[in-house]
Amino acid sequence: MNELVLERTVTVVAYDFVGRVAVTEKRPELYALLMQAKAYLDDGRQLTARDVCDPDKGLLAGWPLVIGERLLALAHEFKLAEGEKGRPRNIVRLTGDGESALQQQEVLVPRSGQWRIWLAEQDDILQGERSVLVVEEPTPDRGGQFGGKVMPTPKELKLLEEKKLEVLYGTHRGTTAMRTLRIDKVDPTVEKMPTSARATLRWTLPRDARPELHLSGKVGAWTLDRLIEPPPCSFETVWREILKAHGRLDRWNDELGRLLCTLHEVEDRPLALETLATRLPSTQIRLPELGKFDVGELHDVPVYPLDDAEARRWAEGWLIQQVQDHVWPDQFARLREKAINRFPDRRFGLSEQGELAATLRAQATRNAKDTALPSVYWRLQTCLDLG
Amino acid sequence: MRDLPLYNALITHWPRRPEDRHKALGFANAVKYTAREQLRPFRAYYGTVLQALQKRPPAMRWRRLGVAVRVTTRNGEPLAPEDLNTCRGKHLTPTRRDNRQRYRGAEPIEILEVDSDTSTLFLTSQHLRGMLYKVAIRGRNEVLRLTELGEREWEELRQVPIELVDIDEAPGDDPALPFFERGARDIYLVPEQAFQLLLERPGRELERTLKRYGRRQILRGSARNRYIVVDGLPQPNTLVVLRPQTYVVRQQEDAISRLSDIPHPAHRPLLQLFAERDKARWQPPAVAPAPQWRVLTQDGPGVQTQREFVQIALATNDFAFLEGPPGSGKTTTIHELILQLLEQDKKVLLCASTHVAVDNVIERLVAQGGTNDIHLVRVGAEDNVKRNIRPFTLEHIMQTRGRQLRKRLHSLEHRQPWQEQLLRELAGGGEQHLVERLVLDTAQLVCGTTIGILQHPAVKEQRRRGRRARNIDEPPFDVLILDEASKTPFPEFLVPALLARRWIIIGDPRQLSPYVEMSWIEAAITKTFTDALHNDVDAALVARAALRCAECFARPRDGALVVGVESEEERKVWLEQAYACAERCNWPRATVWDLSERDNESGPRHHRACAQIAIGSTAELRHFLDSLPLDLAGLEGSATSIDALTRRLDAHKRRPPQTPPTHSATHKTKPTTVEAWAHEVAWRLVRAYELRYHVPLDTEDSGRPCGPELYKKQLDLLLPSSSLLRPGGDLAANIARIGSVALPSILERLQRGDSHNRSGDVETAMSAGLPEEQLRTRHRILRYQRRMDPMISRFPREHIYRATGADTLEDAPNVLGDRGWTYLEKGLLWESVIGGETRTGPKINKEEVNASLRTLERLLDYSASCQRPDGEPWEFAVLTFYTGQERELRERLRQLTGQWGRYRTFEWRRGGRVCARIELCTVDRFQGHEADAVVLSLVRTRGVGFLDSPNRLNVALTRARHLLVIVGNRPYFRDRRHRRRAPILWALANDEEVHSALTFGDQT
Repeated sequence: MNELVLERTVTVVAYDFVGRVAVTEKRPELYALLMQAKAYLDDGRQLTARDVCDPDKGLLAGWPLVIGERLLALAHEFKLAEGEKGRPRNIVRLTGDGESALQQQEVLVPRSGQWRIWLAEQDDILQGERSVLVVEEPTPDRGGQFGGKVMPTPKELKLLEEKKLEVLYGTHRGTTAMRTLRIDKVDPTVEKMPTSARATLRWTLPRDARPELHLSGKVGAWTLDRLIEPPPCSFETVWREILKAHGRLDRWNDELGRLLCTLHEVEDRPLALETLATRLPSTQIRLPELGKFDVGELHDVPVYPLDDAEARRWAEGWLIQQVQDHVWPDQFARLREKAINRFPDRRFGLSEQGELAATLRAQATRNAKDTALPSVYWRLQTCLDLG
Repeated sequence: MRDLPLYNALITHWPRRPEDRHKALGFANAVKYTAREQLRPFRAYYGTVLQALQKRPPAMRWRRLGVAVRVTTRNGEPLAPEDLNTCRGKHLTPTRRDNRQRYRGAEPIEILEVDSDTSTLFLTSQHLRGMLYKVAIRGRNEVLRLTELGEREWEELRQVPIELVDIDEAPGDDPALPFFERGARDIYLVPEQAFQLLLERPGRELERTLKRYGRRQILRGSARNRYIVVDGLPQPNTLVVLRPQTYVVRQQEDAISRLSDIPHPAHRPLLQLFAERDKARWQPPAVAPAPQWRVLTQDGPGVQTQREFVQIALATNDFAFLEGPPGSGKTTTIHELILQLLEQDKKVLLCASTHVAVDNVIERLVAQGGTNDIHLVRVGAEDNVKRNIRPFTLEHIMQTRGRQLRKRLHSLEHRQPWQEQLLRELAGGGEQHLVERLVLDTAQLVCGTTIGILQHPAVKEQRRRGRRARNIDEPPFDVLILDEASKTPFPEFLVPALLARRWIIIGDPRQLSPYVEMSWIEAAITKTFTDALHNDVDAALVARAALRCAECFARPRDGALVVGVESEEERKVWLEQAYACAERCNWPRATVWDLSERDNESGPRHHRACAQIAIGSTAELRHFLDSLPLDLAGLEGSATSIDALTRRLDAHKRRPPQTPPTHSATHKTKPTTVEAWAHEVAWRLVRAYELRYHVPLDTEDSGRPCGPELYKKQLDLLLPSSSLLRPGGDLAANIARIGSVALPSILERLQRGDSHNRSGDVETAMSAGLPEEQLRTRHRILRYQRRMDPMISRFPREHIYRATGADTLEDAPNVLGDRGWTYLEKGLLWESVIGGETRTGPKINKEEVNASLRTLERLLDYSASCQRPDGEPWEFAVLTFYTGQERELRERLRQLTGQWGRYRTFEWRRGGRVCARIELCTVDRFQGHEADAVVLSLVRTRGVGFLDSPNRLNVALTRARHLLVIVGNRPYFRDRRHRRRAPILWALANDEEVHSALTFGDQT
C-alpha cells in the first residue's frame, strides 16, 4: 500500500453579487511607479508628483505634473500606497498589496460591477478562501435568467471580503485562468442562482510523498481542473482514521505493517491469497474534521492471517490455487513447504496430497453424491492413483 | 433601516433583478405607471426607427474618380512622402510653360487624396497634359510634373477613391449625404440584379445578405465632393449599398433599455424623472461652503449668480441647471466648476451634441488658460475635431506623449531601474496600449460628443463587457457637464448620462433646438399610422385621401378637388376623410359633394358648383360634368382620365393643355404612399416645435392662426377621419407622443416639461418639469451679457427674450469697456441688397455674396490699419443660413485670401502679420462662437424659409461683439406679408434703430 486516494463530490453553488473586486493585471506603469516609490522610500524620502515627472530621474520624464499627480492618486486608489495627513497625494509608504505587487509584477486593479462567484457548499476541506472555486466576470449571457433567490449575503461570502484569493477567473471573453483577486466589497444582498454544479474532490496521500488535493468538474461554463493546498494531514493519520472508521484499528499490526484479518474478511480472496493484499470496503468514509468521502481507492492494503488456524486456511487456499496441472507427490511436497513458509511466524501444518484430495472430494459430494468432482481433485488424485 | 434615507437604503440593499430594483425604488408599489412604462414610448420610437432604417439601404452606382496621377518634381525626382501628405486638400495651380493661352484658361485643381506610398495624387478634374503645376509645400511653391496612371497601376492601388452616383440620377435629396455626415465605416457591394431582392429582406436578414456579397472599408470620405476612399476597387457592375447607419439609434435605444431594465443605483435620479411628481423624493442639494474661487475672482454683475451655480453644482446629488443668454459667462462658469470638481478629485465628463459645441468649450477653456493645470482628453476622430483642439485628442496625445517619453528615456545617460523597466515595456510593442492607459487613467476631464464619447476605450470596454451580460458597471465619471443642452434631446442625453452620477446641464433654450433626423420621425409616424388604421382599410389610399383633402380645405381659394373612385370602399374612404376635414374647418357638410346621393338630382345647382370636393365614379362624373365646379385645384383617381376635366384644370391653372397622362405615369409622378403623408406630418410637427417661441405681432387678425398654431391646425387637418381608425386608437396623441420623444431638449424638459406636446395622464418631471421648489434649488439664470455691443443686444433682448417672457438679456454695466474697436460703424447695420435667390437647387444669392465680400473687404482694410488691443488678430465671421450660399462664399473667400486649401477659417495677412482671422460658417454651426464683427447673409427673397425660427435668428444676431452687418433684401422683409409669418425678422427689417449700411465703408 503506497497511497490512499479518497474522493468525494462537492456541491457548488453560485451567487451573483454587486460589489468591488480587484483582479491582478499587468500594469507596467504602476509597477515602475512602485519601483521608484520603493527606491525613494528606502532613501527615506517621499515620492511626489514632481519626482514622477522629473526630467532626469522621473518615471514619466518630462510629462506634465498633473499626470504625475493623477498617477500617484491611482496608486492610492488601488491601495498600493499610502500618503499621510497634509500630503495625501504623496507616497510615504507602500501597503502590503503594493509590496506584493512589486514582487509579483502584477497589480490588483479594482473594478465595480456585478459578479458571479461559485462556492463549495458546506465542505469540511473547502472552507474560507478554499471554498471559492470560480469567480466570473459578469459575462455569459444569462438569457434573461433571473430566477435566483435574493437573500442576505451568506456569512461565508461576507467573510471573503478583503481576502486575497487564488482562483479560476472566467473572463467575459470566455477564457479562464488562475488569477489572484481580492474581493473588496460585497453588497448586503446577493442572488443565489438556481443552477448548481458538482465538483469532485480527489485527495491522494502517498506514503512517502507530498499529498495532493485535486479538484475537477464542470462549474457553469468553466472546466475545473486544479490542485489546491491539501489539509495538513499525514498518510498514517488518515490511514488510522480509516481503520478506526472500519472498527479495525486493533487489527493493525505495526510490526508487520499489515492488517490482521480472517480469510472471510478479505474482499478479493483469490488475489489476496497470492499477494497478501486486499482492498477495503471503500465507500462513505468519514474522517473527523475532513468530512465524508464517497469513494476511497483503498487497494493493496497489506493483510495477514489473524491467527494460526487462519494461517492454515490461507496456506491451504494458496496451495490449492497453485495446483494448475497434475501434481506428482514430490512436486506437491515442494508446494506444501512453500505454503507453510509464507507465514513463518504462524504455527500450523498442512494436509498431505491424498488427504487434501479426499477433503476436496468430501466437500464436493457433501450434498449430492453424483456431483462432478473439481478439476483440482483430479490433478491431485490422478498422480497418486498412477503410483 | 427605516431611518436611513431612501438613497442610502438603495445603495446598501440593491437587488439584482430589474423588477426588484423597481420595487426598491418605490415605483411599482407607489405609482401606477412605473418608470419602465413611462419609458415605453421612447423604446417604441427607437425600435420603430431602427426597423425602418434597416429596411431601406440606399444604393448607389460607383465610378472611378476623376484622374489619378503619378507625381514627381520638375526634374523627375520623387517627392518625400511627408511633403506629399501635406498636399491633401490643396490646389494645384498651373504654371506657365510654353502655351500661354492654355495657362490662362486653366483653373486650380483640387487634390482630393494623396497616396504617398505610390506618389499618387487623386484629382477631381482632368489636368492639362504637359503642363507643370505648382503647389505650396511647407511655405514654398513646388513645381510638379504629372503623369497619368495606366489601367494596371490603377488596379494595384491599395486605396481607391470612388465617386458615388445616384442610382436613378434623379435630383433631390442626396441619399449619400447623411451617410457621409455620420462617418460610416463600411460599404457593401451587391450585384445589380440582387438589389431588388435585397430590398425585400428586412432587418437582420438584410445585414447578413449584405455581408455575403462583399464589403469594402471606407478609409476616408468627403461629403463635399461625394467621394470615398475604399480599400480596393469594387467589381464592375456592382452597386454600392450604403449600409444603414444605425449606430446612433442603437446607442440611444440601448441607453433607454439600460435605464429601464438594469438601472444602476447611482441612476436613481434619472428614474425619478419618470415617477409621479408628487411621489418622487428628491434630495435637495446640501449647502456647500464657498470654495476658493479660481476663475470667478473678480466681483461684478452676474458673478454672484455664477458662483451660486458652481456651489449648487458641487453640492447637488442629481441635477443642476444653468441657463444664460449669449455672452453671459456660461463657459467661464463651466471653467470654474471644472477646476473646483478637479480639486475634489472628481472625474469629469464634458459633453455636447456636436463636435463644434464641444470644441467651442475647449477653445474657450484654452483661451482662459484653463487647460494649463488640467489633464484634458478630447475623445473623437481627429478629422471631426477643430485643428486647434487636435493637440487634446486622445490620438494626438498618445502619439506625442509616447514619442516624447520614449525619446527622453532613451536620451538619458544613466537610467534609473524604473525608467529601464518602463522603456522595456515601451520598446516591447506595448507602447500604444501602455500610453493609452496612462493617458486615460490619469485624465481628469474627458470631452466628447454625446454619442462620440462611447469611443472612449474604457467606456467601450465596459460596454462590451456589459452588453452580453447586461451588466451594471459603475459609472466611470463622477459628473457630466452637458453644454449647449438646448440641442440635446433626452434620449441622446441619456447616453453619456449613464456614464456619470451627477448631471450639470447648461444652455439657453432660446438658442437652437435639437437637430432632428426627419427620417426617424417619418418612420415612427408611418408605423403609428398603419397601426392605427382598420385592418380592412388600404393605408395608402387613406394617406392619399388625407393628404389631398387637407390640401384642398387648407387652400380653398385654389379651387375644388374632383375625385374619381372605382369602388365603394374607395368612395367611403374619400367621403369619410372629406367630411372629417370639412368638420375640422367648421365648413358645412354640403361642401363635400357625393355624386352618388340621389337627392343631388334635385339639389340646387349652385350648391353643387360651390362644392370644395366632389367624389363620384367615372360615370357619375361624366353625368354631372356640367355641374362640377369650374375652378379646379386638382383631379384624383379616375377623374384624371376625363378629358373635359383635365382641360378645365389646365384652364384654371392657366397652363398649356397637357396630354392626359396614362394611369401608370400618374401613379409615378404622384406618390400616394404613406411615407408621403408621414413626411407632411413630420415636418409640420417639427416646425410647430421650432416656432414655439413665436410671438405674433398682430392683434387685429389674431383669429387667424399663425406660427406653431398654423402648423398644428394643418396637422389636425391631415389626420385621417376617426371612422377609419381602429376603436380606441388615438393617432393624434400617438403623433404628439412621437414629437414629445424626439423634439424637446433635456434642458427644456426638466425645467418646463413638454408643454408643447404633453401626452399621457401622469404628471412626471419629464412631462411637467421638475417640481418648482426642486428646480429653484438647482437652477440659476445668468442675466448679464458681456459680449455684444448694447446696440446689438438691444434687438434680441426686446424681441426674443422679453417677448417670450424671459427678462434675461441685460447688458453688463461695463460691457463696452476698452475694447479698442475704433471703426466708426458699430452696432447693428443692415446692408440692403436687391438680389434674388436661386429658384431651384441649393439656396444661393449671388448679389448677397458680392455685398458680403465687399463689406468684409472693408473690415479687412480696417484690420490692417488698426491692431486689436490684446495684440491678437481681429476675428471676423461670415455667416449664412444656407450651405449653398456658404459654398459660394467659400469660393470667393479663397479667391480673396489666396488660401485655396482652406475650408472654414481664413487668414488675412498684411505686412507680414496676421491682421484678421475670418471664419465662414452656417449659423447652426456657429452657435457657441463669437467674433468681433459678423457679416450675416440672409439669402432669402422668395419666402422666409426657416428664418422665421426665433431660436435660429437669435443665434445669428448674438454672435458679434462690436458690429453685425446683415446683408439682405430689406424692403422684401419689410413687406407686411411677413408680419405674421416671421414677426421677428419683419420687426428687424422695420426697426428704425437698425441703420442702413448704404454709406458703410466710406469711413475709414
